[in-house]
Amino acid sequence: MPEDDGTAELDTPELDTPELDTALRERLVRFADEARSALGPLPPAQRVRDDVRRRRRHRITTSSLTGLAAVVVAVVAIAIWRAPGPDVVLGQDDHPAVWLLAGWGDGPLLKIDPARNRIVATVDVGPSPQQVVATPTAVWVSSESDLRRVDPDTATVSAVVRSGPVGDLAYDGTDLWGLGDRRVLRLDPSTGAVRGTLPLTFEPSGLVVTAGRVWVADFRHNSVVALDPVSGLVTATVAVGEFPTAMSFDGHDLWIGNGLANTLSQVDPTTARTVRTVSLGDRPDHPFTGVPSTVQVVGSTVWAVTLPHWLDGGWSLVGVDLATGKVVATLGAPGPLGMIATDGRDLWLPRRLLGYTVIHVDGASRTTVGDVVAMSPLPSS
Amino acid sequence: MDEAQFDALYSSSARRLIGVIYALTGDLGEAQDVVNEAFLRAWDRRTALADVQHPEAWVRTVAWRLAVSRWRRTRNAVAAWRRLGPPNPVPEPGLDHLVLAGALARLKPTHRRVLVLHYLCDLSVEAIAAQTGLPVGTVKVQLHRGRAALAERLSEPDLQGELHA
Repeated sequence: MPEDDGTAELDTPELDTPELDTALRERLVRFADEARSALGPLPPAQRVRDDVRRRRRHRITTSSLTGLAAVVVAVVAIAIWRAPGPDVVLGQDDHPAVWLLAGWGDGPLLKIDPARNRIVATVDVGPSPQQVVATPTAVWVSSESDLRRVDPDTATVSAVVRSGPVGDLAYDGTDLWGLGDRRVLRLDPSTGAVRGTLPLTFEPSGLVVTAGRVWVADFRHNSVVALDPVSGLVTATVAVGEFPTAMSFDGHDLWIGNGLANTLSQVDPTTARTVRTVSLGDRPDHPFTGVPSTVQVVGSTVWAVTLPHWLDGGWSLVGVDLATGKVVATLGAPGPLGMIATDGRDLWLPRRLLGYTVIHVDGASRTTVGDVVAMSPLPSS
Repeated sequence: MDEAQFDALYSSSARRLIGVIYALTGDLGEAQDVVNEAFLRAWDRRTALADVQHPEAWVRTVAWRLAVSRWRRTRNAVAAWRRLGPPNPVPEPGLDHLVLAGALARLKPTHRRVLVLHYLCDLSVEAIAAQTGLPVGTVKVQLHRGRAALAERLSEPDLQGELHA
């Protein structure tokens, strides 16, 4: 039988009817129109031209300063500054609400009542929010420009405690930890006051805290580095997969999402060795997002958001059994998935298409629960 | 290309191009991002662009290449979303939109591209061949197969069910 070169199908005109052609055209045009109508105002053309000028100036400036900066960096000693801080008083139960950033860098903070599966408040946390973490007395939101304290009861920003970019956040029951610019910040979880700073010699890409160690991902060297939480000295370096960015801790082991390998590395923090590497699917065929982009342990499962094929498929939430290291759930979605929030039992994560919706996943059955929570229009706080 | 010509090109085609790239990528933020970058490059190369017969097609091709190339080595999805502005309050996408987004996402990239160029950009088979570098016959085959695959996907009863897979 001769190999099909594709031309044979052209002899099946029933699939090329004008009616089908018109119907598909109308649906696609409507689809694109809906997307365009969802756009906010575009920047004026003048701004595009100005951006080109700024980019040119930046290139010139950057090349001039690089040599100078190299000399300066070589002679500057990195000092560890630690300020004594007050004792932490853990006098309140955890707030039952789940706090979720509606997008990556562009959405409000959402307060979800897990019992009702409803958004009960939204909080404007400013531009470019990065991560949210709840402590017993405050909810903290990091961003490219500051660190904000949100009152969990009133769902309002009660303070901007730090200016400058802050990345990943972690709370270990005593301290709030945050990634700053080539340093780890140790903060009071109630007030945000700085208790100490651990300098880094690399650009960090992920943070998690275990007993007696602060773990920071180093995406340029495909490793995670353990720091002594007091001295800041490096106590271990563990090689993981390519481009580690997302981290979570299951109480025993670390789980690291390797962003260009689409794998999870399971690392024993005690022995500082990689126990297992779990494949989540194909290597990503694109560099646009880390794959997995977010990792979260919930119950007996570690969940990761992946997008291995930029054009061929939708985003997926993949669940891996902690004990066996086997993929036990794959939930697909047509739109980009955001960061995972959890109440320790279930998961919520935003999905973006034109607006936002929130997907609710039952952690025990590892399936989506009922309908997604409508987020548009958002209720006001 | 002078400022007035560039501004006219931008104001007349930016939104349309974002819609086209959105249909190709399924991500409105990314579409806005790459189209903006394509216009940046267009202005940066405005002298050469003055000789281009169809500047909008040039920008569209650049945006498309940006969307599929490895130039944007962002650290993770956080960085990809970070570039976007605040969300515009819009109605939640309807089921039809979700179904079409899912169907487009599962087409072969080559099929999706010729369908979008044909239906959204109103390009003829010959024009698609010229822009993509593919033989006319191949474009015809891909258009036929893509159309059949899209129609088949759209006839499935409930793509939303995939959320509960």
